[in-house]
Amino acid sequence: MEGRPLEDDELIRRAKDGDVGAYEELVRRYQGVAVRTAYLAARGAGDAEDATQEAFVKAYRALASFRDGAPFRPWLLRIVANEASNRRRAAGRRARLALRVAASGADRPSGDAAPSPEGAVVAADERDVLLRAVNTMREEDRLVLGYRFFLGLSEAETAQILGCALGTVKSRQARALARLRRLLPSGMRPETRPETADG
Amino acid sequence: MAERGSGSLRGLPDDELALALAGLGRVLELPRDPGHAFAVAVRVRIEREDRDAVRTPAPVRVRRALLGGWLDRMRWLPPARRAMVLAVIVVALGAVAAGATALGVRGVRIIFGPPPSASPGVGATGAGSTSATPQSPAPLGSDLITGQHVSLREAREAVEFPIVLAVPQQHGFSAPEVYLDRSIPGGLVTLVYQAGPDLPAIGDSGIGLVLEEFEGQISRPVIGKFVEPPTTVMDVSIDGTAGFWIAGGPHDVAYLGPDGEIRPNTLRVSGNSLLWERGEVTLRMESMLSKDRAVAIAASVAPAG
Repeated sequence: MEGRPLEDDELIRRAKDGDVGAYEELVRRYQGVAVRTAYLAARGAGDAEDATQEAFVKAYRALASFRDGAPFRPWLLRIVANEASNRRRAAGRRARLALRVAASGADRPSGDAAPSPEGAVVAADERDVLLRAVNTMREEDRLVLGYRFFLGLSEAETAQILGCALGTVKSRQARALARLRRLLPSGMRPETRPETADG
Repeated sequence: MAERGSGSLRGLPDDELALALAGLGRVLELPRDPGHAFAVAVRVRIEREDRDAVRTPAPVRVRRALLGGWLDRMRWLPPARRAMVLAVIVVALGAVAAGATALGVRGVRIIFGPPPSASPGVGATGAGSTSATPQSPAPLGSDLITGQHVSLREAREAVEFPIVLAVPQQHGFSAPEVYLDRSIPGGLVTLVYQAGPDLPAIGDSGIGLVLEEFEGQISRPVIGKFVEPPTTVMDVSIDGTAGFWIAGGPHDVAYLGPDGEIRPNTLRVSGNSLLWERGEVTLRMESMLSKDRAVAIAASVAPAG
């Protein structure tokens, strides 16, 4: 999940020694998923990039507290999520993020923030139904599903970002899926297929 | 996974519902990766905060501003605003090779945020080490432009890249004054056009248009631009080449040394700027013109001689 953990370790070591250029490389590596995390955590309020930049700076300042050998991404994303949600609260916004399908409707290119590769291509009608249901979910449920399935983060990463135990994420995810299921209409005939189905 | 059979979403087991959500995630409108500039912005901000923290004198002396009043206003920005630098940058990207043309122009660094603190009282001192020729009267721009006042022929002989001119006949310009800064690797040539009926002056400088030309290098930015609201940076196309239009407010421009630090005596306030590449040459045009007119002029530049 981390991609190149050894390189991360080396970059982190250098960054801890004051090599800002090494940290820049870490930023580049994780900025995509970070800005998406901020977007979900801030519920669309404010500028996700602003919050992400602030979080990256704070993370740099906090590098001394980062445990060597630990995965960097969830440690970073927790800072990002906290920064984004703090900004939302400070602004007194109770904005509700209405997720939408991108105008092109096309899949994003894969990258560090791409959802899990096994993610299926969803038929448009099914997608719309699913999206409507997700958008009516309470924020806590939507956040755990968003981190897990929209951003493709692992349960362990999600737990770290949310600041809870792995078991808590598992149960929250299960409950969120159950609640989502109840929000869905019955009788849909999904046409979900794997990405490689055409290949 | 095989294609699912019939059944409702509601009836899906958790793992398949999770797959459907992942599929939805692929088409959701989520922020894109902010690009190369973002990481550089973080680095620059950290470096700037580090510099501020140790309170070292900024290695910057402010040249007389082309747009004088704006400089003072920027200098007295509230500290909080100075600290809250949204520093974003496009570095000498080696844009084409990196496939990042849309993000940068070779040799140029754009920094969203205020410049490093300026030393009060030096805003109107004029040029530092670089100066005009000793003869009088001083040529247009001699107190503002980096480099030595030279003839166009001298400049042509001194640099290897082809110098281009804004076509005088087409746009009603007079012949430009030419400056050459040899301290920039490959040379920096600056053409200064006098303001005229169709070319509004930049501040009270008498200058209507400045065209800078240099060989943009992949590894090393030459020009730094400090941008903050309400100034905006917009992608533009000049004859199919990606460029930037920076307008909407004043921004600072400075020349950067090999280490990326601002070279002394080169920070000043700039008007609307257009940045683009022409072959191996990076061009920066500064004026008070509209974007459309600036782009039109940029598209019509032609080799000198």
